[in-house]
Amino acid sequence: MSAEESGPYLNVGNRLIRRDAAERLTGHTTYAEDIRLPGVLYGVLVPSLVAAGRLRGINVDRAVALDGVVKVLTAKDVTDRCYGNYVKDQPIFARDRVRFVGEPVAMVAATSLAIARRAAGLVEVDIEATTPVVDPREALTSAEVLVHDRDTNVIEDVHISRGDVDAVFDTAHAVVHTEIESHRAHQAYLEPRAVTAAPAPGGFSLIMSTQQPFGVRAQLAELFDLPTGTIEVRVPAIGGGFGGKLHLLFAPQAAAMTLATGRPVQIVCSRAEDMTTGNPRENSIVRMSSAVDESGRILARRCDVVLDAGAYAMDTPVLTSMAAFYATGPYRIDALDIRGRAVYTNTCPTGSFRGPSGPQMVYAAEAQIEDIAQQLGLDPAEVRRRNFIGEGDRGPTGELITLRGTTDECMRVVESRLQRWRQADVAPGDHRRRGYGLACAWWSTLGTPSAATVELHEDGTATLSSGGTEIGTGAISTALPSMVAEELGLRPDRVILKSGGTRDAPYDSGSRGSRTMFATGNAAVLAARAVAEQIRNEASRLLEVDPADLVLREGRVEVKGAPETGMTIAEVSASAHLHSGPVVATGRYRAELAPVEGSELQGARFLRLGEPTFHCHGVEIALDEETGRVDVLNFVAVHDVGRVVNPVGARGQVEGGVVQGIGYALTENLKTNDQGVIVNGNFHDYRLPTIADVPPNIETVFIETNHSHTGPFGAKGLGEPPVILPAAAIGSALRDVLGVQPYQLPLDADRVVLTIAERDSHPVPGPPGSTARPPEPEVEK
Amino acid sequence: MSEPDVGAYRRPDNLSELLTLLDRRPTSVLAGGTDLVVMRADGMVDRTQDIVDIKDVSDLRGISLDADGTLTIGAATSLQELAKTPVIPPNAITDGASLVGGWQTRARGTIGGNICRASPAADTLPGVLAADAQLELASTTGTRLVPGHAFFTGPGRTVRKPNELLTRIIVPASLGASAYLRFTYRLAMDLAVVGVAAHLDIKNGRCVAARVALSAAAATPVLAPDAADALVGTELDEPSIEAAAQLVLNTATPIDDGRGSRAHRRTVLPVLAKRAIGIALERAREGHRR
Repeated sequence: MSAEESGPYLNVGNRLIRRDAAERLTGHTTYAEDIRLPGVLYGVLVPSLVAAGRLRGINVDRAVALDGVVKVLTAKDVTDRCYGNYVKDQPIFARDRVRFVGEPVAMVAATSLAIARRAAGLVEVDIEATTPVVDPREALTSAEVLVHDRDTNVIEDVHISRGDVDAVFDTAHAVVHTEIESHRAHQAYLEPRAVTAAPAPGGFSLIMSTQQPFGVRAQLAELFDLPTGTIEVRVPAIGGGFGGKLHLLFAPQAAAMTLATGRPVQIVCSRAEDMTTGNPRENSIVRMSSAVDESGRILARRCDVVLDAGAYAMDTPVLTSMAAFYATGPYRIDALDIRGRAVYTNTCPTGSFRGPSGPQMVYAAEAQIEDIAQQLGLDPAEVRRRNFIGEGDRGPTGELITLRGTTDECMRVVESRLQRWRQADVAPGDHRRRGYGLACAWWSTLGTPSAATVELHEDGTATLSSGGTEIGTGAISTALPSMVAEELGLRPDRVILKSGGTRDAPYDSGSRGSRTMFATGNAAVLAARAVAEQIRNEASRLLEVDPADLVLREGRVEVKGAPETGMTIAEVSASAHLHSGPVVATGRYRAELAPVEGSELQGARFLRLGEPTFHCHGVEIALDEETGRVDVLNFVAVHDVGRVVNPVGARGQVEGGVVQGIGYALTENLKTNDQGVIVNGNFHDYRLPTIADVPPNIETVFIETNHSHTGPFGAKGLGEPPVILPAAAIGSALRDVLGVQPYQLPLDADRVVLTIAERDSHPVPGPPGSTARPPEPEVEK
Repeated sequence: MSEPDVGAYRRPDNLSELLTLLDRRPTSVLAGGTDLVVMRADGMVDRTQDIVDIKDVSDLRGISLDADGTLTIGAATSLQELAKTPVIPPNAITDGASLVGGWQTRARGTIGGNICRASPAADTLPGVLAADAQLELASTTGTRLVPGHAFFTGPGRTVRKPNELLTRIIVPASLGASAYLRFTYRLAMDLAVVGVAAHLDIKNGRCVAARVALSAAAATPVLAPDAADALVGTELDEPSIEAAAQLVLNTATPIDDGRGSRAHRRTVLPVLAKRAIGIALERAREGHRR
């Protein structure tokens, strides 16, 4: 759809307060756990306590004998089909083998939670423990310890290549190598995962905290071999998702128990269960080399990325492709040899987390820019500037960029702030050293399918039915109705939203991939436009005016240029109901798949940005060199996401993302020990930033001069980008203070002390380029 | 339907009844409940034990200063009251009290609870050791005083017998000043990765007595005598402080765990010691005795 409209708009661009704000703030919101169906059973899963082993037997007799226990299920009681987004590798309950600590081996359903918990403790699981593989490097090469019955632990192997990389490397002015390692982070939504299954004719229904009810329904239909329509997924209010609620979670187990007992079954994770059996952001290893000329222009790049998938693939296959795609950063590089791999390990499966692969890939690509600048003795901002990708260039897979590249505009705003901060006085007695850094990135707007229905009622109010899920961004609850109101010439409060599941709305591919405002929004706008056309046609008949001469505004249908000639939309709608039929339309949207040219792609699953967005973050840090402690003092976040539909919501997205990014950079680290046990699966040892740990001012700036050609009102995606840059910006600021930056995340006090020690262990602080750096290895091809 | 047995809840309003209840059968003592309630819910504390709530025994609360300078803190005094007390100037114990948990935790949690929980990482304990405080244990058969440094026997373990109650923390009069500092990854709602309390007595510009105590550096809070001894006799100039601070490593035996690494703890301990000694010195010079 084209969206070259320039406004002005009555609703779009206004500051809108979230429609669900009051009920959320006053505690009246109903979450999945709050809904207790009559006769509900409480489900508790029995986890494997070892990371790897042969399942020799399970004795459920003592659990079954407990008064109040209704049923105990194990693998032999359920289908042997497995599930998974790309690889069907995950059983409902472990069958023959266990592959990670926390994997469900059985499930108890009882009439009270306390009984179910006690009974779960009475299930006797006999496992012959075997040696687990928990380190992805080891998993990559091991032929002995295999997580699945395959001859390798490598689950995904992707190549993107273009140009004659070898020739460029052989003749380049310089070759610069950067290697980083990143850690796991948990989505740490406030509402732990929860699902209730209940019997329904021919199938079952779910009440589930999920970001993607239609995806859950489709996968469950396949798993249980049921017609899709016999499964309903209802989504009450969600207490955060961040990618952690895209998957089936414990829906298969709850559904299996409901099918076995004919009763409703609820599973609500404890915090510990949630932290240790979720799908955290994957740990990874990124090795990157660039061949550059003397000006810092990047002529060719090799990159080798390894992602730790954990015990099951989930959506890691596509994340591997994303990681490979983002190896260039927002820079034009004409010769590429990029490989992405994912490996199984005997650890909790990893998966999507807001901006999947983004934080580590931005960290690697931006550290590489700084390394290049250091080796060549150039200003890193200037190196960036000489390499930024823009309109008419082709991205890594050969996708033509059809929007202006605005990373430079974003960076100029950041540079002005860094300059101002550098000149500010430091409080007397504050001996911490100041560092200033920035990072640049681009990101995609996922254009996966959505449909939405808009119906205009006889009274001139409208109902928008969307299968989209409100996960806290306000895009569904607030922005969508306002966009529909804009198209129909109504006040936003005249558009009523119906959403929250699969029953009352057509298909939507979920709240993820920075797509909701864009793609779900497009479907809603298309439906609204079709409804507007029906209204114009009806009014045309009544007013005897060409429909093309009619506009809908402020609740009326008016003749362009003669607003006194017109009728209320309510009158027209009522007339249509009597004469031509109900006023209703469904919009369907899927982004066009633009051609990709000039790259050789093997196994790549992620090929296009769709509508690219451009970003730069800047930061001022204070470093306590004696303890390694880093405090973030000031932050500026500049984003080009096209038109901003709701400035309040957009700012909230940026601030939340920056805080989440600071947490990833400095304090959050989901640690797995060498036995595959997560050692800090709770909210006191897994250190989310508190309000005391983030800068009092996070300045948010939007570059609103580069609207999308295809998004609603010119909007692009914003959900993910704010989280992917802070670590790289803080790394750059550390280099500003120390002359070196850590190559291992997180950048916590421990890591910073080690980085300083490593720097100081090199006796002569040599010329640029000779700082602590791993020796030049060959990037594996 | 059979639920497991759970102990009874008792809330006596006087000490003798309270001590009688403790004497009768194994009991969980409830003050603020900020640890106990959570630990019981998690099954880490035996749920069949009775709970004896001490909050109605008013003798157990309050902070008072005797004419001779002896400070007495009731065991059920909240951490918040201690942190904000006007009775004494800021010192290592009040510094620690002001850092425990979040505001809600401090409003509810008590100094006695913090001590009897005996976490190696507890924030008030180094202050108790550095102040050379005596801990008063009462039972139906009498009371005894245990010095802070002899009170803790391991993580979560103390010399308190099941029939005894910690009633008062008695801090001797002092001409000196003290301070407590800790290292955390977060600036709020965090547990000490390591902590250091320092107490200095100064006469005519010279250190005449000193105690340094550490948290999260061993299985219990510990005194660091080498560091303290090195301060005595010096004028507390920077080189002397720096050299003494380094000696906390003679005592510290920190571990690698989910909260921090042994190496980083060893890096940070002398830094905190140096800074805590510096703050104590500044307080002493400003006349903030304690």
